[in-house]
Amino acid sequence: MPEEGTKPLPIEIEMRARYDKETHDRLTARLEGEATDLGRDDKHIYFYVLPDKLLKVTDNTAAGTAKITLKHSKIGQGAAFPETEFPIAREDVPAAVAVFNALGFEPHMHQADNQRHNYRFRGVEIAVKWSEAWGHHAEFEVLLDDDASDTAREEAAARISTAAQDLGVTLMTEQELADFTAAFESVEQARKDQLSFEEIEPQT
Amino acid sequence: MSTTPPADSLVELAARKQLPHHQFTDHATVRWIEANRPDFPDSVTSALRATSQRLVYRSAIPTVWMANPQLADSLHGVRHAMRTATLAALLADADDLNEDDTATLVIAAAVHDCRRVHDKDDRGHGARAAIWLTDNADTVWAHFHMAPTPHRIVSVATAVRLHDVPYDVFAPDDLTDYARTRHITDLLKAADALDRYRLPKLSWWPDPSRIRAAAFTSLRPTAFELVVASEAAHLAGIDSADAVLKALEQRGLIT
Repeated sequence: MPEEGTKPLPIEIEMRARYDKETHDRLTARLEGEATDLGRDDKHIYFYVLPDKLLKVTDNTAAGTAKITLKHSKIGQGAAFPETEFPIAREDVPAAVAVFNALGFEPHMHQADNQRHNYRFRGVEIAVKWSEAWGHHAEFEVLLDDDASDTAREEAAARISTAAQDLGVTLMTEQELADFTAAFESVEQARKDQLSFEEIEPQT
Repeated sequence: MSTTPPADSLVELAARKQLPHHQFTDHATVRWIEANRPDFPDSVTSALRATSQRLVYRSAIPTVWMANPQLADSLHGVRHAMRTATLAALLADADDLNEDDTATLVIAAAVHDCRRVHDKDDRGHGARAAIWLTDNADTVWAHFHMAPTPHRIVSVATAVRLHDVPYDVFAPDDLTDYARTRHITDLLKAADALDRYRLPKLSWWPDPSRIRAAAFTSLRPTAFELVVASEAAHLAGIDSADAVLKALEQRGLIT
């Protein structure tokens, strides 16, 4: 139950799929023909992967907007993400990143350039994406109010599964997501450790 | 008495690759620095010229200039700023820089790390400091009792921006800027490097092969002694600015 005077947090039922270039081309062709095209939505994202939250500063480079998002659970810790999000000016992205870094979150920061094209297909928003970390992948999302019933959540998840199945895409299980995310974070942390300590302050 | 540094000393943390974000020196680390004194030849450093002495006094920059005031007493705080400013003035003397260029160099040395947010590899802090300096030029030059001319501002900002960019990765824009402020930039990098004796790992100490300043080698003993004396004074309870000034007096650099 949200506190009095605050807006309810939307719940994002989100599932993901990773696939190869051939599947990407086939999926895109299907969506171009049958889905509503919501346009390109390329982004540069600063992720702060915190123990039980995901904080993001998103520079929507294609749309010319920016936002800050706090997801109250991490990828791989359940499909439902309550999230708090608000827009900021694109010019303020560096300042937002500087503030979060100054608050001590910098060791948890990753950056990614995401190429993204959004579609709506049978009541599901589908973001067809590519990033260095994930390769070709897609996010399937349905937004619900935070007081959505368990039945509504199950129905949303089923709607996503059906859409993905119809499009010939295999969704990742929660375990696959958790394993992939942990592996990525481990590699990223090792890279940062090497930079931080072997090049603590390189003589220049 | 145990000769093993305590587990939370910087020198031990560095050995374990567990240095914290914010790093403050400690008795064990200063003892370790002293114990690893390089085999320097004897050298004598003359007192700074009077105008440089006045600038070095002012190199105790206000904490409000710092992006993160937590760093005021850290490895990149006021003591590092003042020692770098002093070494910059000595390098300027050795290269016969005129007073205006010396002032430009000393001001650059005083503010070069002021926009750091932590004591690790804080990439881009030079660029941030250059932007901040340009935005606050009136305040900065007034602090040094000088007037900010466009040439002075550009020179300091460029040297500060390039101080944390290795020569071998200069981009075309960096090379263009460097060509305009080559001497100031070289001496700022050298002064900053000379103060690396404060760092808690031998492999991080000054590396002459990366330096483009003729007097670098001859100033190493002075740089080392300034680190030991001022860090010890600070640990004895003296504030950062006074700790450096006391070390400068002991070495006869200021009168």
